[in-house]
Amino acid sequence: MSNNKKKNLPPQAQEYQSFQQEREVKRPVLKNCIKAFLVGGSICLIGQVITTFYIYYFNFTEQTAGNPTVATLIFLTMLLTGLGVYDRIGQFAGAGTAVPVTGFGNAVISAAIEHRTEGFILGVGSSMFKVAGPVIVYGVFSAFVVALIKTILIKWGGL
Amino acid sequence: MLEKNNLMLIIFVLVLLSACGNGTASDNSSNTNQNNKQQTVEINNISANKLIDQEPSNKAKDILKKHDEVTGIKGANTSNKLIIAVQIKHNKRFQLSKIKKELSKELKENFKNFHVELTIDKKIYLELEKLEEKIQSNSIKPGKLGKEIDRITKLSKEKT
Repeated sequence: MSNNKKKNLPPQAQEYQSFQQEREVKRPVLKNCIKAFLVGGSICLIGQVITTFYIYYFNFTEQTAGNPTVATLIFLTMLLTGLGVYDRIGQFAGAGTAVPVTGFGNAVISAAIEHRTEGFILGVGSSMFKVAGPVIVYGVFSAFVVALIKTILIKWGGL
Repeated sequence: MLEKNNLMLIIFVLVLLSACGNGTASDNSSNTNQNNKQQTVEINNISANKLIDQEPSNKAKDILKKHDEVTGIKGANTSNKLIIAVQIKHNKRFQLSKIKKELSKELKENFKNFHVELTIDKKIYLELEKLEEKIQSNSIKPGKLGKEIDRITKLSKEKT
C-alpha cells in the first residue's frame, strides 16, 4: 500500500499495517534475481547451442537459424510442461523461465492441460490462448507500429 | 521501508552494471595493443597455379587482414564475382553493421571490376572454407565454381 493511502486509514488500521510490516517475511529480491539470471541464461545458452547446431548441420545461416531454434525451444518446453518438469523449474527460477520464448510455450500448454476436462472445443480450444493470446495480439500490434515507424523514417527521414 | 530497499537494489544493480561496463571497456583498450601483435588471422591463401585464378580473393584477404577486428577470412572468386566471409572479434560484434559497411566499402573500392559480396555470417564462412579446400585440391571445375558461388551468395541473402 502506498504511503498516501496509509495516511487516510483509521489509526487502528495504521497500527495494524506497521504491526504486519514488521512480521512480514521479506521477499528475497536479490536471490530471486540471481536465480532468474542463472536459469534464464542457461535457457539462452541451450538456444545458442541449438542455433549453432542448425548452422553447422543444416542449410541455415545465422539470420535464418533463429526460426527453427524458436520452434525447437517451444517444442521442448511443451514436452517438459506436459511431463510436469517445467513447472518445477518455473517455481525455482520465476521470471528466468517466463521471459524467454519457452515461457510462451509453457503458457499455452499449461492452459490447455488445465482446461482439458471441459472438452476439446470449449475447454482446450478456447482456453489454450487465454494467457498467450494477449502476447500474440500486442506482439503483432507493436511489431506493426514499429514497422510503420521504420518505414516512415526510411521513406521520408532518409535513414 | 520496502520502497527504500527496492530503490537501493535498483541503484546497486545500476552501479554494478555500469562498473562492469567500464571495466570491460578499459580492459579492451589496454588489451588491444597487446592483442594486435599476437593476433593471428585465420587465412588460407590459395596458390596461383589453380584452374581458376584466385588472385583477387587472395588480394582481398591481404587487404582485410590489416583490420584489428578481423579474426578469420575466407573467400573465392570467379572472373567477375568475389565473395568474402569474415569473422569478427567477439567483443567487436556490437558494431557489426558498422564494421561490415566499412569493410564492404573498402573492398568495393579496390575491386571495381568485380561484383563484391562481403558477409559476416558463420554459415557462409563455413561454406567458403569447404569451397577453398576444393579449389586447393583442384577438385572443382570452373563452371561448377561459378554455380557454387551463386548458391552461396543466394544463401547469404536469405532472410527467412
